[in-house]
Amino acid sequence: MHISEGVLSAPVIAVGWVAAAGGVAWGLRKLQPERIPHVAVIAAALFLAALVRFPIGPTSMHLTLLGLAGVLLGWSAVPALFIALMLQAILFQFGGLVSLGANTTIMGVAALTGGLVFRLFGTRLPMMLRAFASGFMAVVVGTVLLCAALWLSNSDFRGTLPLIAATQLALALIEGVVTALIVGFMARSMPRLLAS
Amino acid sequence: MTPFRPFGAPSPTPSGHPLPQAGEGRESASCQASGIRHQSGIGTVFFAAALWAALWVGSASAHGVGSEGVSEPAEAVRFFYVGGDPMAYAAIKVFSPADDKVAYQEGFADGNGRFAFVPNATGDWRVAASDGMGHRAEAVVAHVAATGGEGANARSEKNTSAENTNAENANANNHAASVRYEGPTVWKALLGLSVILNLALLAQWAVQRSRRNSEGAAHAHQ
Repeated sequence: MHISEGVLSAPVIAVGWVAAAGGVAWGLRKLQPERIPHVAVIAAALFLAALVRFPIGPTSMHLTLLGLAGVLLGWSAVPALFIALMLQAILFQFGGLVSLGANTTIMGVAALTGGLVFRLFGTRLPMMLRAFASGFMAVVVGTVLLCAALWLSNSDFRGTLPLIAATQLALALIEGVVTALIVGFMARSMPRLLAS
Repeated sequence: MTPFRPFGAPSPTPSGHPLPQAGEGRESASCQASGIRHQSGIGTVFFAAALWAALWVGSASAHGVGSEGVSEPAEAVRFFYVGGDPMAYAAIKVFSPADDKVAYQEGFADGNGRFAFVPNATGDWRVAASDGMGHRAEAVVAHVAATGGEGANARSEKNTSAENTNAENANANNHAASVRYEGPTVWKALLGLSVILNLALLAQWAVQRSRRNSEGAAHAHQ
């Protein structure tokens, strides 16, 4: 889901940076000081998740943990994502620094959607199911935004659209399962983190 | 049905009229001469066309297809994701040193992320790969003219500017690629973790200092 340099058009890059700056500022504003270590741990997990790759068809994917970040951090997921994506771009060339704003916006909105899905159903659905939906929807929303950014940049991805859909659907399922397992584990071992 | 015609009778023309006989008049004779000249002209044209076709059979077969081996040296580049996975079947555009806008060649990498092309000029050739999912890599191949002798295709890969991916020279020649993939080492990951945790510590320290200052100011005020 990392967009490289030279792919996006200038307006999309600009809009991405403006939205990312707003999201990071709002996320920092909503961040309670005592939760800083909590955010740092999730940012570290987001940073390392991209290194966990697994093959899907002719390509390979990596975990994003966007849904989990949204569930655990809410708005604070945006600054955590910004830091993680910046370090990934600098150290591993995952995405570009110019497109960092767009990447932060895409994944930030995806993470917020994941958190919203988790909270939206409240107690009406089992927690594991909500966590699965959160991880699944985060990837789906992220993929839609990614395609929108590419489309607005006149990037011809129509030929790879079926591949994108297939691989991202598989990734969404995997993310859903991983999110459900982690949230299930946290609900048993440290429910205080989920309640916050 | 064709009517019976005795031997020696004048043969009819295609339209059914008998051919003019000797002494039938100057107009008839003139007509006959004209017809003969006309037939002769057509024959000449046909003959010329046949001769032209025979002489230019090579160009006439340009509508056909064929194949032959190519001895010009090719340049090959391999594109891969950071982590080592190939950019399988990535869309490739090759830009010549003379034109950086219009692609010299377009195509797709193979399943191993490799793409080869035959440059028609020396200079820096830009090869861009895109997987259609936002991942894009570029390689600049410095193509140098062959200096003669077997395998003397002096060449070098100048640099590969990789965004989400890297590219490496995968030509069978013995010229080592100047840029090779350096995998995500544990040290890089540890460095990233260190930066994140240090940022958190810095933020925590700043918050505590701010609180201490505000508490000190409140005590001083009292």
